[in-house]
Amino acid sequence: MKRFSQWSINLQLLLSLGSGVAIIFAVSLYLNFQATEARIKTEGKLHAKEAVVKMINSLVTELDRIELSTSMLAVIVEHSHYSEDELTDVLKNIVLSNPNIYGASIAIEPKYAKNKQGFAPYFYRPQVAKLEGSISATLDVKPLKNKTSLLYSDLARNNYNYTQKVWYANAKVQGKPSWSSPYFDDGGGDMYMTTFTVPIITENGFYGVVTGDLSLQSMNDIVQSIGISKDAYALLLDHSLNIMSGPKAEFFMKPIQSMLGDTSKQLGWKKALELMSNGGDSVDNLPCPDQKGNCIVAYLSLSSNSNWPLLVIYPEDKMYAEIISFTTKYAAFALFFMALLATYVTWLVQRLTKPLTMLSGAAEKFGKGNIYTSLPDISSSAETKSLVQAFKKMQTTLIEYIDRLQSETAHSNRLEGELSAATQIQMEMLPGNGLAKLNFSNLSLWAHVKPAKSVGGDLYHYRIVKNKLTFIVGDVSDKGVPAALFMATTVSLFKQYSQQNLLPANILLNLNRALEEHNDACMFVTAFVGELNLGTGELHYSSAGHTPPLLNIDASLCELEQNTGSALGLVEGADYPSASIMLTPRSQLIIYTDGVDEAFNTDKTMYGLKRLLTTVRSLGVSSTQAVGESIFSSVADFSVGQNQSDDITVMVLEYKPAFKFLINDVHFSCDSEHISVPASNHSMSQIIQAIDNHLLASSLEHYNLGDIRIVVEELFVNAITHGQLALDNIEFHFSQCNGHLMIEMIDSGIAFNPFEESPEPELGLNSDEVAIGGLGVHLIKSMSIQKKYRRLRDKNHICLLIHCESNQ
Amino acid sequence: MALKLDKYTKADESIIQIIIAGSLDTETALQFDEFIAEHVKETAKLVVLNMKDLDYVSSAGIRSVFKLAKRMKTRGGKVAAANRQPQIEKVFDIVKALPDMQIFRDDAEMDEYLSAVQNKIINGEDF
Repeated sequence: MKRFSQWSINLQLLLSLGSGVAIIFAVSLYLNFQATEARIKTEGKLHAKEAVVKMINSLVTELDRIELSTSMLAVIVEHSHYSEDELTDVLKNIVLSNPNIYGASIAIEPKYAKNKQGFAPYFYRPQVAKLEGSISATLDVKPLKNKTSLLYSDLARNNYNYTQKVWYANAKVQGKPSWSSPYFDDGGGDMYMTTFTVPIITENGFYGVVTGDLSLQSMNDIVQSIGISKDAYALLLDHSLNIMSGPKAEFFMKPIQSMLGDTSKQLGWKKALELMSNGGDSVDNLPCPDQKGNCIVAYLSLSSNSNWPLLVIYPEDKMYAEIISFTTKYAAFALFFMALLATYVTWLVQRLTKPLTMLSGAAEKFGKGNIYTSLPDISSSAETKSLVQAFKKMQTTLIEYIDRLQSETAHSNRLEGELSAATQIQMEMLPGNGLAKLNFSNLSLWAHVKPAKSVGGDLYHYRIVKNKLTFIVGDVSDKGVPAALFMATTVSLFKQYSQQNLLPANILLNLNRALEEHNDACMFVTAFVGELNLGTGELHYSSAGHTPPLLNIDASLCELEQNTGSALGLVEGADYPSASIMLTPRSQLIIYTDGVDEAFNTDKTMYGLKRLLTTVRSLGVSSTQAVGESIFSSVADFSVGQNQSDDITVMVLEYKPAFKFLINDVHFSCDSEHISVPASNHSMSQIIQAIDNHLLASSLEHYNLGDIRIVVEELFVNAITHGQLALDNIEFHFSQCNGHLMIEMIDSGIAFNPFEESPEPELGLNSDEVAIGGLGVHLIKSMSIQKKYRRLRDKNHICLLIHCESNQ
Repeated sequence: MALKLDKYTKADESIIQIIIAGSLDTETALQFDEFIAEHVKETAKLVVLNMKDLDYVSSAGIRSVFKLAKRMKTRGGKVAAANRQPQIEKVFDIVKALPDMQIFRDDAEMDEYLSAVQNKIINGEDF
């Protein structure tokens, strides 16, 4: 998964800004909610209290009006001397002029009335229209026909007996004005009402009462018409805590406990109800009466003669509805704002990163090698502008660099071509163009120079004049072109001096003299010069500061003893000691430059003389080519992974005076092929096979392998039988020429010349006298044209020339 | 190269024809000697070496033939050779082998001689 810092800028910005804004919104929303909730709670209580007070004021005003009218009537009855008819009119007028008074009556003690049944006129209003959902709905009232007309009822009629009624009797007992508990009136109103009763007390005592009725419907209208809020409602209770006014008709005139249900038993409501019944007031948070949740409940008793408790109830969740609604809107706004922000950020980021994207596209083309790709022209911001400018600068620099590189490469290629030509020219100065192979009957020579650079300072050369081989191997100080020029001079001079029949020491003397002149650069060359007499094997040699060559005689290897003079070109008139040695046949001389023993590997270890000796020793008896190539490959293997630090030159020469036969003025020598086999009868077929292969590859159409086989077998068996051979191998060398095969067998048995030391067998004898010895040698002699024997370095050499061509 | 030897006997094993095929050389000469020792009984009067398929002979092979001839001679018997190939004949000639050995150029010559010898042996004559 990618780390945040690896996401796109757009995503990073969106996430950073988005989460920041979301946090700010959430915190502000939370704080606002908390503050608003606290405020709403406080204000709700205040508001509830105010509503209660306001409602009570309205109610009290209404009640006061009735109390005043009723009291005034009481004064009129007490102090005026109106007739009963006049009082009836006054009563009627009072009811007519007070629309809130449902009905009013004057009831006096029968003893003060004209009629012995008493005097009790009662005027009341016809029933108002039924209002659904209100208390009046439960009342059975008659419709009002005329707004101004009142109904009259004489309460003093026989069957009513008003003096026995509670409102009359209580007033008489109490002797002071009071509101009655709500009751159902069947005297005329036939509805629930409450009555304000004022007793009339004269100096003669109780005279009667004046009443003013207030229908509970009217009171309910007043209570419910006082606006509090759409979710709040009011309850008006009587002294027994029955509901006189409330929002639901089903609880009319029922105890408030019925509306509260189980919540009335809770401590909060218990306390509140107790306080209410004692006329106390408070604002509390209590469980809502008819729904879930809490409500703010404010209650207060009416202050007038009634003392009825009035409650205003606010459901809290309704109050919070507003804040919840606000919060929802606020959250929606936050989301909208964040969406707007995301759109803006995306647009902004794309606008900002568009140049980068364009630049990235150009950079990709650039990376694919199209360095001339045009960069986008961007001027959006200072940063991108500077980036594009930097890119343009890089492009320009790179183009310039590549142009320069191309021109330098062309120049370098030209130089390389010239150097390659120089290499060729230099190599052409050396015999075999740097890889020489000579295979004469008495000499085998292999030489190779491998420069470390195109051209180098190593050299070799040789010349055969009058059966003498004169050769040089040299190493110019330094490498490269200067060394190559010095090398060329040295080779030219050697070619010149080697023709003058000079001894090696004199050749070096002359070379030094010539090279030392005008050698301001102080270049020098080490050299080994030798002269080998191919007839006698005598080697004269002289060294100018050159590494001693190795002398390999029958895999016995040593350094050639030498007294060296100074390197050529350094010392004026330097002298070079001369030395000589007789080379035995098959001796090999290995002359090399320090590029061999001073080759390094990756561990900075030097190849060294020890490794060189080990390499050559491991080869045993090998051809000059095999020895030379093995040295090169050993050095290459050793310094693999490391550049060649110096030129390498190896010259291997082998002195091998061979048997020679002269047949019809043609010289024969058997040196073209050889095989080495164990001294066992089983090796026969191997030898014959090798010779057969050799002849097959020759130009002969037919050859007589039978004769060859007899000769080889007799030679071989003879050597095994009489030679007392150790475990050494027996060598066969052979070569075909002009229908003749030359075979040379070399064995390390005791010295034995079969051609002289074997007894001549007596031939032509009959069966009883026949001799069985000496037949083999006789067969060899008889079947070969020429034969030679010699003992060299503790080995028998037998050489035969056989006519091998047959006519069919 | 290998050597293959077979024998045919006639007239009570007095006449033994040995067919030599392959190469009679240093390596196989001993095999030839052993074959002779096993199959050429004291009673043998004539051993004919049929060299029709003999391709090569060396001095070791010649020596074995000489030894057989010498042995037969001391018993009063004879050795003859038949069908020699040129290269075999050449080797025999070089060592001037056994002037007294009867040589048959071909089968007819050999059969004619063998019939005669057989008759003589049957009749108890010398041959």
